[in-house]
Amino acid sequence: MLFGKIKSIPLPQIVRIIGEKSGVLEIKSPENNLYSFRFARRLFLGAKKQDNPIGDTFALKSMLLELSQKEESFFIFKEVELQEDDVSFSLPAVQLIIASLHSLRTMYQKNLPIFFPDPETVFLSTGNDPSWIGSEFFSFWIEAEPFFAKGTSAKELAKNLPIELEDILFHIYTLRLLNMIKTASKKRTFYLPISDQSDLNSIESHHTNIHLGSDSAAIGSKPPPLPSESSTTAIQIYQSDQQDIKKGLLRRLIYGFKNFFRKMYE
Amino acid sequence: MSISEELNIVLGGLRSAVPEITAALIATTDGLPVAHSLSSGDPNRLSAMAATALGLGKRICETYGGGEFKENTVSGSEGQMFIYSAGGKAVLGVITKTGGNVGLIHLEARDAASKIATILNRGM
Amino acid sequence: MVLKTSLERCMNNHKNQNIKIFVTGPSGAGKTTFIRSISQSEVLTTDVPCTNAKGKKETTVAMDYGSLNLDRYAIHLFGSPGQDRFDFTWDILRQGALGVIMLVGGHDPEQLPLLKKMHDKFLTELTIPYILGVTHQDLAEVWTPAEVADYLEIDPFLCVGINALDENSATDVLVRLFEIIEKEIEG
Repeated sequence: MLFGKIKSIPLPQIVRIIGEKSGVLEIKSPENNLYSFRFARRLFLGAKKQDNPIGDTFALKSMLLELSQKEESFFIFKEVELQEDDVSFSLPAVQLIIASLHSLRTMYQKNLPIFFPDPETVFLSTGNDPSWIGSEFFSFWIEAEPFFAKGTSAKELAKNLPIELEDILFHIYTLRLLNMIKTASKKRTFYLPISDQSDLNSIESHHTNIHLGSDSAAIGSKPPPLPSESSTTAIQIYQSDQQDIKKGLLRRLIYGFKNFFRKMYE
Repeated sequence: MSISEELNIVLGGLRSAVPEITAALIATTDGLPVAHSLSSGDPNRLSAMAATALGLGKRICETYGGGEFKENTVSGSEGQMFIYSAGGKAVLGVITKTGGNVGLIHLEARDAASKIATILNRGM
Repeated sequence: MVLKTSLERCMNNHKNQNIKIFVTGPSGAGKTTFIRSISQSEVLTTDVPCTNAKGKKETTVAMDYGSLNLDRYAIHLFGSPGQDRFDFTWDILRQGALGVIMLVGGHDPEQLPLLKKMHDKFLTELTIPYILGVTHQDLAEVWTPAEVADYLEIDPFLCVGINALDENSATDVLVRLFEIIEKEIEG
């Protein structure tokens, strides 16, 4: 059963978890107002506040904003097959995720939310098409993409881009919900358990491989198992690229533009 | 009259003023469709892309020192799409066949974009 | 017995017979209960007073330990302290753990953000095979293992439910962990 407080699992994330399921998401605010959202097969079909249907995009946006400010609200998702006749929207769920992320932004500035990733967690680009993610998130994407292509953390981005760590964490949270980046998992390595401490060191350094993706040969060729060391290595690689990245911003913007519009005409 | 109705009137007026315009759409800056008159293509996707294009255009303007962003043009062999900033909250997209009177299109569409901005500023 | 078979297949006749498993997760996930329900030996819970450089400070760290003997193998279960900071436990993990069991209370979604943080950081920093146990499956209002897998965006095979009313469910977590480790060896 999917339930909880939107303080720990905000609306965009709930929509992402709902995924392909069909049903009704009910959110009850502390003042006992009931908001509901209907979903079927990755489509958002409509919403209600109390018993009043939400008729247009602007009413929907103000409802999302209202909800993002009531973080003590409780949600529950009820899985049911929905009748197709009760449809006021027929919007890809991911566009509801984008719209609710924009609303969330007004709230997160108060303090660093618990649902943000750890600043040291490394994320990799998924290679998905960014042309629909919306202006604000796309602007961040253009600057951060070269880093995500190799695998990077919020902490490293904060050192390399003129953006505050909190903003970067918010954008990483966003890009992840939009399926633009994923955690860069190392290859799970099995090593045989041993009780002797001296054996331990040799076996560990032998078996700990870092796999951050195909471009990470330079990182992977060094075998430092300690996270601090491996992230320093990564930072060094990025620092050497940093000048080029700044110089090339306009070029990349235009390049992004070109690809983007090619997509538009597909 | 609701905001949506007012916006639809603006779109209708634009299309009758410039018959070369084959379709038009209004989207929020975060990519939600507000109104459209598309007969083909996915209006949801195109709204989201128009919003992204607007953001990209703004960034390019900032980066080369071009001041406030006004519009983008995307030209293909068969058609053209013009993307206008309509205040801080919305974007207007206008689609025509290639070879239209660009001067007239810009004149009418810029006017429509400022009407849209006024309606939205009043309504929200 | 399923556990023994899966363990033997996983160890593939390796000479070593001491197996260390690390149990971690947010506060209230049920780590101590889990170790108690699996352990044959009496579970040790140690309270250690700590001193830091600035002077004495009464910090108490609890570490659970339990063990299970299976034929010629001895499985040692180490439970991490139930507190919010988790970085330091990674160092303990490095010391030859065969696998990691992460636990989360399915009845308490407020544990999920911390679980996700731990899980993602673990993925980028360590290479040890792991499994996720979702406790309190006997309750009516509970996140299922599949839902937690969706939340973490991981393969549902890595998530197992634990039901306090079912004696075998804790053991099932170990069985699945050994299956995962076996797959890693083959892969």
